[in-house]
Amino acid sequence: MPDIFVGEPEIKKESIKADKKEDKIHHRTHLFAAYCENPEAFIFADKLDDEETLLFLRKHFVTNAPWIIKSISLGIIPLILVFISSTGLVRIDFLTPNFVLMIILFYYFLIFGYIFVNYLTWFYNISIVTTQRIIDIDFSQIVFENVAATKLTQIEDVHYSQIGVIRSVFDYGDVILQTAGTLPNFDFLAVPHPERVIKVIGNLIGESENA
Amino acid sequence: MLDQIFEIFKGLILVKIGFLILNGLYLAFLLVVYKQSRAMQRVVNDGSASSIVNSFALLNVILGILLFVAALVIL
Repeated sequence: MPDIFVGEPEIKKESIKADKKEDKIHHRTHLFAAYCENPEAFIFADKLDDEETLLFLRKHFVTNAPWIIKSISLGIIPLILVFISSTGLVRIDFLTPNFVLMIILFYYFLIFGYIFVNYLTWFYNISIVTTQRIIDIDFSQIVFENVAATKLTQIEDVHYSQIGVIRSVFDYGDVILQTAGTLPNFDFLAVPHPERVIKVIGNLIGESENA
Repeated sequence: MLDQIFEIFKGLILVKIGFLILNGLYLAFLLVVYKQSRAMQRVVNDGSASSIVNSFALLNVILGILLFVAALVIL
């Protein structure tokens, strides 16, 4: 028998809550944020008055795994040395206790510096998509700083590649923006949710072409 | 043989001076890191996150100074 009156399907409250929570997370930048849509309280140099930031991207945090593992390994080395010296295989008693203490403190301080420099490099390697431009900020080895920008009208094509198990599991990939003529292409390397990124940029390109 | 090497190093002032120079150079590097961190904040200001990162850079410099002074006093 056909239904004459059918009520609206019930939408689970939990799924709505989860969506809202996810949206909130994606609008907020924090110390470990790699993907942010319409970020709040975000300012960059030379921002135009009528320009609005749509996407804020960094490399996926998983890409920091190599230096995190290295730092942990380096942190364990003195403990192993202390263990070996306690067995008598290696002698460090020719150094005064104060000197040993200073060396250990300095060693851990070096590791802390290594962690901080790597974090800083990740933190300030940012790609920004605004309503008018695409901006790519490269910051590496502390002394290298490069800011490149192109207008949306210069972008001809956008595509992404996500190769490998880790990239598929953590959902990150490379977004490549092809620019017109001899202008250099823009690469957003290892950014989270590449399919969402190309969707946003694709829509913007379409809008700018229609305009 | 090893004992002889240990004897040479024992009380060797050059090692301590070398350590202090290394400490000083690292402190200079940390100052550059702090300066660059401040400079990048002017390019990209990520709200409170940038301020926290800058504070960490400053903390790094302060710890470096403390370590250098401690090394000067103790060694």
